[in-house]
Amino acid sequence: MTSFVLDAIVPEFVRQFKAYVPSRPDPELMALYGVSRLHRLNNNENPLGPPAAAQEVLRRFPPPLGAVYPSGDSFYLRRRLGERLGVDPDQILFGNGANETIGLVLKAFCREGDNIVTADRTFAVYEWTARFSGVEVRLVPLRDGRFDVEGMLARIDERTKVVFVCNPNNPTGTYWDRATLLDFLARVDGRTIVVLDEAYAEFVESPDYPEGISLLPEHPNLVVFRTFSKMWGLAGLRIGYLIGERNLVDTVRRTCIVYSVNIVAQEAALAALDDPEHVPATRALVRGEKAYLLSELGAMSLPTASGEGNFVMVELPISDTLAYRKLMREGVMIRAMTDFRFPGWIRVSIGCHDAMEDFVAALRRTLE
Amino acid sequence: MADRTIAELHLAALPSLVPLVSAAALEGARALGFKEEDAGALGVATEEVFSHLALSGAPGREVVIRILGSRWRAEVEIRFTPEHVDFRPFNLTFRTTPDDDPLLSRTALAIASQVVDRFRISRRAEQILLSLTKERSFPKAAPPPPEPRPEGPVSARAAQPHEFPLAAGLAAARYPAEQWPRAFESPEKVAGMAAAGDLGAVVAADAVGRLAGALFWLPAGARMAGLFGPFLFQDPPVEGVASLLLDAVVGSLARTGLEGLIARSPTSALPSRAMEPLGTFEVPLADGTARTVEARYRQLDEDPGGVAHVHPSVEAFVRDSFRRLSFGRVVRVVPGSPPSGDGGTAFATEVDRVAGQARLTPLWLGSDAREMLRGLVDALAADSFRRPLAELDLGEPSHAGFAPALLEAGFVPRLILPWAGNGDVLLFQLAAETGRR
Repeated sequence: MTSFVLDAIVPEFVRQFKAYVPSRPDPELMALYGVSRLHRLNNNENPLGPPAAAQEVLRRFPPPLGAVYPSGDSFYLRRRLGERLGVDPDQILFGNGANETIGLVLKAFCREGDNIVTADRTFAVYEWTARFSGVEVRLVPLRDGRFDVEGMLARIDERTKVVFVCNPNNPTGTYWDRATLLDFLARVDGRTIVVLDEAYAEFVESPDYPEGISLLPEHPNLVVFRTFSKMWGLAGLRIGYLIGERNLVDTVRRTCIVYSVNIVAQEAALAALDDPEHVPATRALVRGEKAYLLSELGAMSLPTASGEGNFVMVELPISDTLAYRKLMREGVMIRAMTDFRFPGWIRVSIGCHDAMEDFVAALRRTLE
Repeated sequence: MADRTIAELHLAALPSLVPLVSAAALEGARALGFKEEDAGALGVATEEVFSHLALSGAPGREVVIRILGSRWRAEVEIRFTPEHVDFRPFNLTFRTTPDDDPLLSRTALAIASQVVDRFRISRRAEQILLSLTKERSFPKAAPPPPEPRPEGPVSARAAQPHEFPLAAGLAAARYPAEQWPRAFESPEKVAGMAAAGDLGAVVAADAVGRLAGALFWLPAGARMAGLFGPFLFQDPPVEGVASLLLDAVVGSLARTGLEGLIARSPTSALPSRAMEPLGTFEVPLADGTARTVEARYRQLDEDPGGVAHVHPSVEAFVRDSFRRLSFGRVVRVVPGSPPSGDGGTAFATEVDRVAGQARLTPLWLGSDAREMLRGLVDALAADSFRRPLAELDLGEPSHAGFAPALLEAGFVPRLILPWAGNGDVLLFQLAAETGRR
């Protein structure tokens, strides 16, 4: 047998990293917890599903096309999206979910000894991807639940290559308004790439919310992430994108292996963009069910944190990981927030009314 | 842990090499700054173990010896693969000859275990790892003066290096001994443990650094950390400090790969609903008595669910525990009868003289499991370990069959430690009436 010492060839930053363990498929979880149905309120998925036109694409997808490679650079989708957003299609780069684009940006700009700056309590994938890439992570505590402008600026130095701002922030739902974002970009003054992750932008209805895409002409160091996983209900197909200044995107594209976005995802996303009813319908559902949920949680005297987005955070009098297990026994799957550095909090995705009612009832029993 | 490797030897288990191995351990400990007595003890223990391998455990087999440590501890790791799947020589009570010559009445491994602070045998597939750890002796210090009461807002943060010994000293001065590690009596040792990354702490302090409290943690296996505290330093305590400390520890250990935190003997300041009760067991006290403690647990990740392999004799206890704790588990009942005609039962024994605790884990199940356990229990009792623990890894199907022998020897299931092994670990403890034999 060949002698092979695996550890000898594994970089320290990979050896130290803990692999993310995704949850098991629903049938497995239902068997483990002894329940006959499971409300998934853990991943901020859209309870309405994909837009009707996208659903039609899925229904009618010709099986023989499963044997054919997709467009390697999502050609038609970029062209349509470019028209819709008023940008050159070459300013758009698609990935296998926005998560892939995080890795592409880090690969394009970071090497050993460089660092990224982001918040301590935000979407974890910026931090994870940097760590297992050997890039230093500088975490700035949220201030009053928001990304801290001064704290972030203070941590930027000559080795800072990327600053990640989740706007609105997952999980707090807070966001930088236009003035705050412009002030931050001005003070960064082109020293580093600024990534604005707008995964939940389509849920925001506040007029002072700044769409990053409108700022690209003045800020060539700005990159905007968007996804089809949340508002557009295509999480299962894994498709997201980044938009930036053309030269910047060309640079990121060098780190991209083509064909990572499958043909079904491209076709469904293309159809989704032309559905005029999906976004208003989803917003109405989220607005109504969030109000119901907050009212019920208020009646239970539980502190909440709720801003923009299709989710609400709740502080519990018991540990969040215990609440996760107890709620699973009730057929409700939420996200325990210790891993987001909010110990004692859970995050609940907004679902249809029956799911919200079941969650409230299950939570009451859990806390009895 | 930031241990430094001092030396690594690859050699055959031959009697002629015993002096070389013994000298390597001795000099390795000296290189870490250990004084003569401590270094000598590690040399003697290593000599005993290597002699045992050369004579009966693995004669002639290739052995890898690693000497490592830090400012406060030195460890000798001995790895090898026995020629046959026969782990009996690694029972603490194994004798090479059945005579009752008083000079041979103590076995090599028992001698080794008695001169070090921690002695551990573990098995991975066909490989055996023997580990001998000696902690460096440091002088005890007088308790620090009471900490002045903080003024203004108090916040929790990671302890600064100079705050470790201070907070440990304050804790030791204010709380019963079973609630803090004995290292807390020695500021230099605490500083060494912190510098090596073997002790973590958060403190609650005001703007100028006056301490309101502290919460410590130590590694407890690869996937768990053991919590000590919360320790509060004023009477009455500053309001809300315990919750602040616990939130800070949980927040700082999230995303580190740890599965959970366990507090075996928490102070009364621990917020009652912040950590879930797992069950009770006895902890030995310095005066030779024992105290019942309720182990408390805080899971750091969402539980992924899993499979538990259990013997029918403990199935009801395990199922009831999972139901009470709301763990999603598939319970697979494994009869686990020992192979007929095989007399090769072996238990790994971990003896922790600092904590006053001994712990058994299965290596290999044979038809002599009951006799072997009785011998081990008697040997441990003779060495003042009257309430040893035993652990069965429910993630290991081969462990299930040990349950009947444990029950017959007087062990009783006490609680389940989630994810403390390959799967959950079922913790047994020798019942008091049996332990007094």
